[in-house]
Amino acid sequence: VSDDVTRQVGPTWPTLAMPLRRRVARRAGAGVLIIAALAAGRAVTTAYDDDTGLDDPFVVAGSLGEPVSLRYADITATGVDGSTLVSPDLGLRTTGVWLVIPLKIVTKGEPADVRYAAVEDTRGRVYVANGDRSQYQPGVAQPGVPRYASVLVELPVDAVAGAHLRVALDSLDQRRDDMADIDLGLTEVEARTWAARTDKLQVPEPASTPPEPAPGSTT
Amino acid sequence: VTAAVIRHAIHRPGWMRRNWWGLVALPVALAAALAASSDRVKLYFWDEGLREPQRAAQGDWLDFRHTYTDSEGEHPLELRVRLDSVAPATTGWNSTTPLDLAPGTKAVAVSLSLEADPGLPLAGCKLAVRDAAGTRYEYLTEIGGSQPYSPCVPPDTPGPSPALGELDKGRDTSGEPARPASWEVSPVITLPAGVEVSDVVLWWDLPDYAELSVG
Repeated sequence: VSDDVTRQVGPTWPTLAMPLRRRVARRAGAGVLIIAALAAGRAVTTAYDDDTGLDDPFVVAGSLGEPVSLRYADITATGVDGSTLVSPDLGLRTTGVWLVIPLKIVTKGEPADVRYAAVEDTRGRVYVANGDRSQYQPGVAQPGVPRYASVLVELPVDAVAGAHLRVALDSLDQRRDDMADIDLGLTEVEARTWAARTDKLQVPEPASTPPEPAPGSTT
Repeated sequence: VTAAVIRHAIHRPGWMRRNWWGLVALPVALAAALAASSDRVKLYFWDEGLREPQRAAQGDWLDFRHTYTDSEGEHPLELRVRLDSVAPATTGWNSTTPLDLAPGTKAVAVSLSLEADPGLPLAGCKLAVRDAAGTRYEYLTEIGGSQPYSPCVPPDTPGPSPALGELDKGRDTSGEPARPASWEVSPVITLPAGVEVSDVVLWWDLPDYAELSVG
């Protein structure tokens, strides 16, 4: 017996064969745990029905006349007006409504061309100011030097009430960066009034000075 | 009850012991996973900003050493640059027309002396002035009038452009008339009137840049 005290004791891990049934149960248990972990992960990633959420812009809400502070600029929608006829190209006419939204853009840290603007209606339809008709081209502004540019967007009449303006840095890629979401405060009254209006709205050119308020504009 | 069963009960290894190598490997695996998924940190963040300065003070020559890549591969980009002055300006670079400045802004002319091999394509540079907080005001060509598109080469003799492979067919790539071996530029930058310029930065391929402190 005294030998046992001084002699190196044998293996320090189980040396006894586990009974077959127990081994099978252990394997099965491990398998169930792995499947449960995978199922839990799947449930978490799909629970919110938001597979594209990682790509969404960081939306910063604001209202008309208030500066919205984004990573790259402070954006203020200084007003909103509408008509069926606007000034570019000797006059653009629509069977819907033209919205004209003058912006004040003050970039931060480095010069930027804040190039994306769109109007989203209450049904989620997005009207981007990117083409020959709906327009927005503010140009590059030095940080701290205000830039004034107008967003011109053509909408169907039923998209006017409750419409929001969305402004972001990159016209092609708005993912994972700040985006202003400005409630334009429009109702059915404006929609009907502007859809019936036929006088030509002047769309101011982008400039470093604030545009003259157009006569009869509603802000 | 055999002796083996007793020995086993006494010396049964603990959870730590059985999982020791797994525990050691866990932080290593985590670090490897983070490193493997971090290529975009370099691509979209590090290489997109002014990160690696090469510094000199106003009046001193800076030996700027970097590389540029064109369709022929990577080449050395080596030149000497000296900041001579940052002074108030009333006209654009190469212009006699008074600047139409926005309210609350001013204009400064950044005078630089440069020396480089006439065969080096340099026109694709960017120039900016910064204040003490690091806010950057860049050279813009449209400020009231229009300025030359490159702020760092002589407007009339900009020198060659980088090789563009197939696109160079039928294009004059000689860079003639040749750029002189040394020259001066004084591009004009607009900025808010209250801003004090603390340094001038000049760069080609990010993240390397020349930082020339004022004063």
